[in-house]
Amino acid sequence: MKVLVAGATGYLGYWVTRLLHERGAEVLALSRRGTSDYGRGLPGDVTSAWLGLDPDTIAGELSDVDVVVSCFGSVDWDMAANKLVSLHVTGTRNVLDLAVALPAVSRVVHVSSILALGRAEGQVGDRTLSVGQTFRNWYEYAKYRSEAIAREERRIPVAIVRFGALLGPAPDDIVPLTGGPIQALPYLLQGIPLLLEKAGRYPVYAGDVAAAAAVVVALAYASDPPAVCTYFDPRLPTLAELLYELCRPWNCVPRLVEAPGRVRWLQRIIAGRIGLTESTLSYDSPLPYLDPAELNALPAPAPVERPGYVAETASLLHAARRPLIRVNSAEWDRGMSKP
Amino acid sequence: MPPFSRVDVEPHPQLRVYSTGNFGEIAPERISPMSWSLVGRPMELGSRRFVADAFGKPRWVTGSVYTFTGYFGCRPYHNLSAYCHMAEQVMLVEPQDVTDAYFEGIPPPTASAAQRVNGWRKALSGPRLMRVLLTARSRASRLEQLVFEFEQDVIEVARGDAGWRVGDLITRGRVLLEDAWQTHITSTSGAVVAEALQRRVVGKLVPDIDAVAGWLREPTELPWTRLYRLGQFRDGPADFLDRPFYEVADRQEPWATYAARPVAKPVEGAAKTTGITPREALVGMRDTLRGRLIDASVLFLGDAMSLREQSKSLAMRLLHAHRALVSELARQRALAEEDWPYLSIDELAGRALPGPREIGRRRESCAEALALEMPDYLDLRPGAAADRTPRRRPRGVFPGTFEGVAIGVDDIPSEENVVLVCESADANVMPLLPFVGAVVTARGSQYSHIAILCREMGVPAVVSHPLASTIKPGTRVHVNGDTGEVRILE
Repeated sequence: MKVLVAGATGYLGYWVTRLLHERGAEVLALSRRGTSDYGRGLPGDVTSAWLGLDPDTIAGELSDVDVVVSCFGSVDWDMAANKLVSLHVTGTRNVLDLAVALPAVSRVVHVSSILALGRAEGQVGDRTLSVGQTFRNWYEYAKYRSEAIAREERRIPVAIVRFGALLGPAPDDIVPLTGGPIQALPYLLQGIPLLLEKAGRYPVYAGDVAAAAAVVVALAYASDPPAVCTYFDPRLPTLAELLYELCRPWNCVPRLVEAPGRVRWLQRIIAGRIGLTESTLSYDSPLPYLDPAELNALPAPAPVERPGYVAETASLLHAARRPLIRVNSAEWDRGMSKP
Repeated sequence: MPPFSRVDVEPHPQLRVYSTGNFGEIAPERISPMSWSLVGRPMELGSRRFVADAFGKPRWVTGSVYTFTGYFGCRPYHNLSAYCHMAEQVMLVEPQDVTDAYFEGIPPPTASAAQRVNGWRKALSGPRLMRVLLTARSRASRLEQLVFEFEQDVIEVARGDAGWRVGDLITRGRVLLEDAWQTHITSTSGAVVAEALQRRVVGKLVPDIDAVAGWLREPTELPWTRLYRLGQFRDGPADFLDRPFYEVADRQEPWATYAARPVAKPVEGAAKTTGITPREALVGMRDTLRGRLIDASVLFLGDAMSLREQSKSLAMRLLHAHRALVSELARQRALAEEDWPYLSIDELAGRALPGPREIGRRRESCAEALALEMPDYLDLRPGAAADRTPRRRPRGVFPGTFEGVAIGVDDIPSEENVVLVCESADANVMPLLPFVGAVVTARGSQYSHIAILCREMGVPAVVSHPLASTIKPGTRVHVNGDTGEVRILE
């Protein structure tokens, strides 16, 4: 079994390539850097046609690829809006076009996000994508567009899997600091209170990244995979639980304050002054409701979360002593010019 | 130095910088004196009425010298100084906005010495302009009805049934042409004002306006799809799409060579569909009040663009109707077919026709002028350098990146990923747009017609790019509609 993984050097991509390698598949890891810990690294770019690979590689090495996995794009939430949307839209189209062109590919696994449903009301499921939702930020919209493209694809079977916020140990320079509860850590560690609806006692459908990668691998190998499925930790840890566990290595108890919408509006106004980004603050109210029975659609074997994966993530970050917010000047000019 | 030919107009004494602008992209390079009298003169009168409505009646728009347009060496020009002068008098708008929108981003000329409004009159110009813009749409609908009736009457005359009505139709046509060009100039200026407003308003509501500005220029419904669908009816309103725009004498030499334009053949197939557009996503991200403000600014700009296209289609329909009318009138006045392009419509319908010697002189003079190279940018100020062409800036007009194989306007897109590369394009390429992935043109500006069409169809486009003239069909190109970058691959 030969698998091409686009976005192989990312957080999820690392675990996908690792689990595929451990299962004995031949892995081609496509990324901009072109290096890979597991499998063979291919330098390429999803925004170029044919993923920036030259025709010899495509005709030679890629001619017997069985499955293409697309898990790129979760790195920088605060990228400019047009670049972010264009990355996901063009990137997904290019990956699908390449998969269709390769002779031996039987399936594409597309990684999407529960956030593609935006601020949908009520209960949501796997069947529909457009439910009249609005979006909190451009990352959600970009994920929505890329899932829409994957759903419309008729030339080749596509298996779509949605994840919520992913946590869990990985090499510490890969763990993303944006796009999940970790975004709020630097402010909570300083003792700044965070105003949340219900003081954060709602599930955010977090999951273990290794279990998520196992789901991707199972979808690649399964004989009859579902068209769309969702994975999250069935214990449904709430945002408050996650933040408590994440703050523990620093011996800090996060100040989570319950506040109604009007008071939270004040928080948004002063947010820029203390460096809280809009994308962090927009998750201060519950996500749409997902029935835990959705997990039954996942292919066998059922994914197993590693015990204490949240706490281990935090210890990892604590041990690595990485600054959790942008502190150098280049990023100041780029990201924080307007309060 | 002017005059370049016998039929030229006089250059304005103060506002002396001319540029072809939109005329340079889509109109034929040279037009006959008859076409000029149907395009330039009504456009001039319409512009004057618009400026009178919006600014009171400043002295610099009165008089018998053409203020807003020019015709030198049989080439039509816009008066860049006049438009920049107007821009200075409206708050929020700069002359650079005007050149970005319609003149390919060239640097505007230095301020001219014409009279300007100041103080409270300047502050009043904003509300007056808004009032004119808000009533423009209803006037355009009424105009469409009148144009349709006019077309039907002309068809009757052309069939030979009612030759005596020609005089009446010429008079009606003159009024309708002035109205159509007045609506056109209103919406053209409206687009610049709407964009300036949008930049201000949305710039305060959205942190990164530059990244999302490209998505906020979405035109409301354009008339071309509707017209193309009517193309199957003979003698219907869509007949004008088969003939060149702007040139009425497109069957007579030498004007026919300049008027030759390829028309795209309609292609069958499904158009692209999207779910939630980026604009809707942006509106949904904010709270209700901000969302409504952003939406309002988008609709205002979209309406201006749509009105611009509609008024242009009406003007072209009127010109097409005049083709038949002018032929019939010339026949009634015993004028040869190859002679009437050298007259103006007023002379043709007027009391005394110019004699054959005068027509012969004009013919010779035009032939001499056609042999001259008339530049795109004409600076007639005393002491200006003769052949200075300002640099045009490439501009991305709809965001998105695309890579594909280049095709020209005549080709039919046979594969999936094609990029349309051409010198300039107009509504004649509309049938191709659902099937191309990106558009690159050598001429064009932010609000030229091809930009508006690409925004409606959601096709990434780059206008005014120097490489577009050199790319041959069959090369792979990479187009970036955000930054305006075009790269040739291998």
